[in-house]
Amino acid sequence: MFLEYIFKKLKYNNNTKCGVPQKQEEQTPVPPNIDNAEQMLKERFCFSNDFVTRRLNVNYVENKSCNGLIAYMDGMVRQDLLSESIIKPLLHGRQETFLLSNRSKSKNEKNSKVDKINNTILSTGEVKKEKDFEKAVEAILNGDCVLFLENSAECSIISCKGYEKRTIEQPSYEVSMRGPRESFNENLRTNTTLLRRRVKNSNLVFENLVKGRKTRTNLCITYINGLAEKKLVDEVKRRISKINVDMILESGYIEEYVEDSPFSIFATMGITERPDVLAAKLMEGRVGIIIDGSPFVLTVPFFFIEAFQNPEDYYTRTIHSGIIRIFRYLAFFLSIMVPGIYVALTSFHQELIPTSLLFTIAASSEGVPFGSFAEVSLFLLVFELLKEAGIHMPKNIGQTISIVGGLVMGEAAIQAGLIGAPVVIIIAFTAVSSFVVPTMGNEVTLLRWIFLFLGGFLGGFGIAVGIIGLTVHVTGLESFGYSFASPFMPCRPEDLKDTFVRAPLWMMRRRPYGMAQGDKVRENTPIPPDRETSNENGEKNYE
Amino acid sequence: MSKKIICITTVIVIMFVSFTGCSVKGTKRDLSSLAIVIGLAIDKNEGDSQGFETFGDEQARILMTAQVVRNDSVGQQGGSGQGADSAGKGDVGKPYWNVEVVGGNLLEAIRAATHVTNRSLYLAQNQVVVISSDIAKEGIAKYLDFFFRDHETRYDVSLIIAEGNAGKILATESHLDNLPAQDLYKLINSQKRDSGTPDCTLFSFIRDYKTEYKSALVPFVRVIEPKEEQRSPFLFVAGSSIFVEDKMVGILDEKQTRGVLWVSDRVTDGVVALDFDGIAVSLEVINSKGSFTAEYSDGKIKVKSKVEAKLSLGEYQGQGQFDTEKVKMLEKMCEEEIKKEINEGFEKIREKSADVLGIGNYFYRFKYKQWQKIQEDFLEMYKNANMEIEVDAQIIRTGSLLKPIDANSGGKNE
Repeated sequence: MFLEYIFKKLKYNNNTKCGVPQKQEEQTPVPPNIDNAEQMLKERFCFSNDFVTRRLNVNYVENKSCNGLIAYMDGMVRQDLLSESIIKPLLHGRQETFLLSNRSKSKNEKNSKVDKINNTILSTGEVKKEKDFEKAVEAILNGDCVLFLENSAECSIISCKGYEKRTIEQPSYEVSMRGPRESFNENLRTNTTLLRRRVKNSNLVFENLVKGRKTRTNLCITYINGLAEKKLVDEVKRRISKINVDMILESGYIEEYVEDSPFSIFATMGITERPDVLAAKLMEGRVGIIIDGSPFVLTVPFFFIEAFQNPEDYYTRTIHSGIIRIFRYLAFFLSIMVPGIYVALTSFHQELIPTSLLFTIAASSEGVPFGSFAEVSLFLLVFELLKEAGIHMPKNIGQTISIVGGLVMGEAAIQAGLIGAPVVIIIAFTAVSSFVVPTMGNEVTLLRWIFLFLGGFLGGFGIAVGIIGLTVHVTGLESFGYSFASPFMPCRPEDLKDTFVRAPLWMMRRRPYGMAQGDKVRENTPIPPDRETSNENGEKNYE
Repeated sequence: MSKKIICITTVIVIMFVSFTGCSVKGTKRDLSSLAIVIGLAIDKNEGDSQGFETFGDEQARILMTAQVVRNDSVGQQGGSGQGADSAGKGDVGKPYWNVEVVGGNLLEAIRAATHVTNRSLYLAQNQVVVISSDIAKEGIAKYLDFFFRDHETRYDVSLIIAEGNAGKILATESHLDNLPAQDLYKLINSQKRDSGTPDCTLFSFIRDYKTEYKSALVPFVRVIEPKEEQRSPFLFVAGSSIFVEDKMVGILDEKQTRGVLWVSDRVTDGVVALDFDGIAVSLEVINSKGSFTAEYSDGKIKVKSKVEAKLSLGEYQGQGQFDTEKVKMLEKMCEEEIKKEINEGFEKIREKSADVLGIGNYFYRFKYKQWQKIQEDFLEMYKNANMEIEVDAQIIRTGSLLKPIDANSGGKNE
């Protein structure tokens, strides 16, 4: 039974049957008596210290005033906006807006009290009328303030969100030398704005959802209407709608609930923390998922080759970026296979090593108490521990530990005869190569160990089996209906312009196959760019 | 679904069962458990068998010398550790060790080495096989069976015939390299610069042996011991040895070997020294092409060989101008010299009935009807074969000087 489950998970498309539809929220009406309302609210918020209620006298029309209650969460509202634009007009409304209200009111309408206040007195940007108590509570939790009126079955939700958030900083994960340095932060609205500033298109859609029963996290699905395939957008929405969990804290949660192949080594959903990268992906017809509280945005679908594409490739010139990209592929494969191949060669296939190199390696392993496999796996383990420790270390001790780890351990271990020098070089080289492609960092760590074990136990045959297995696995993965290994499989030569090298921008005329159905042609600039030439008569013309 | 699980499990079980062929115990070995052999020498066993038990009669025993690298003495760490300190008695402490084993045949000898070595001999990195001329005279093909049959040995190793004792060749230390066998391998490879010795691997030897009537040329090495006490003995590559079938029948010196190589198109580099009216001139071979055709007519084999050589002037120890006249004369002299070399070489191999050029093979491939006529008496006819040589030498360069350095002698103006 368990094996069956594992096999099903190892394949793709496991999300068709899971998920329980969410039950409807019960509708609770807003209590007309504000004492009741206050009591209900306070109980609802469990008499929390940061929940604030304020009574006031609302003059909403000439000669009429009523009691009002403002409820909000301290720390989540802008106090200046609250006092200047909300409470002040409510308190002194009668004098300033008397004439206004008389003029703007149409004689036939019977506006409710709340409508009058919303339309004529409040001077904030966004106000809503609400009949449901639960929605009012949700609004308070989101940072808005709610105005309850005596004897009114409606309340007014007034937006005045203002809380501490991180400034827009440089990206820490996807660093590039050339290109914009803005990165997403944890606020949903800031992130959507950053994206909006880059894609000034009215077809850019943000669809909001709330997920997580207890955390009520806001999510945004973004795509460009008409460019992204409807099938893809519907699939994303369907999968997200099936999520029925308590909390969503980060994009990783959504990723795990929604991805194909949860047990695969490779991620089938991309993440990015840069708005220019997200804009480029949306322009190719992909869909993005922005989660409130996380600077990492998910992009769907994700291909194997995307991990090797750095935004800097597109901002520098063709030849340089082409060579660098080939280096990245090389670095990836080297960092996976070098320890395994070294162990396989020195343990099983010594005849493949050139003679003088064999002498050097034999000399360095002469006094070592371990075999080749034990040597390499021991030092690789040490390296992995150092790496983990380095991530979580406070900055003060960071320098010391790197000196200890790097110099002392490496040098001293060789001097003590615990490991040979070639092994240290192999591991150092592997480590450096793995940082060339940081997006594949997690996968590389795991694959390295797999190839090491395969090479150590089965020699060259094991490495060959590993490569075949890896290829079979990668080509079998799917990402939201698209093959993970495209454009290699299914092979589309026209999409190969962006894989091993990056073809010049004026050569990339069409969007990736099967993705952007609404608008296939990217651009119409001629190939190559216009050049001024002279014909025989000496006249200049462009061709 | 359960059917699928059964299928997958069966496949995995079969894989693991068949993996025993490449199981850890069988094929995995640590570098420190290997005695890396870089040179093998095969001799006749004179004297006692040093305690080795062998099969077969006494006369058939061979003495095998395997040069084993001492792991910790080569490379950065090891070299500094050992230094030049041969603290032990005799030959302990050197970067190599010549293991001497007696056995009835090769595999027995190699396996008998376990009596004296603490590691198993690892032959995959072997570079040279030296066979003593005593054994070569009686036939070496039977010893080569082991090299082709074993999975670990390679047959692109260099084959070398030693004058006299082969083990001595492996024990002769070189001035340039740590390991004598590696030095010997590089020595044979560097003969390409003079083309006085052909290169020969086990594979090419067996290929020639199996070709009907074709003879192989194998490099011939001797040890020279200088008379002065301070100078240590050194190796000298002295031409090649002629093999008919698999037995050694004679020796060619460098000039004769090169003569034969001119025609077989195996000259890559070399120097032709001429005496041009008392002036010593050297010409360096840049490029050379050699071919031959053969014909059977009037009861005789007639061979026409053609050599095209491009040379550059290497040294001109004379005075005076250097004009096209002189160039033409030099070319003519060079052609004569090459013809002389070829004639000498051909004379020698003809008299031994060694068809080094592959004339029989030529008839078989290109003139089959004639071949059918002469097939049985080929070797006799070969002894009387006629060789016409046509050499076309061109001097295409004169190096970095146009005029000889000595052109204006003593400051006099011309």
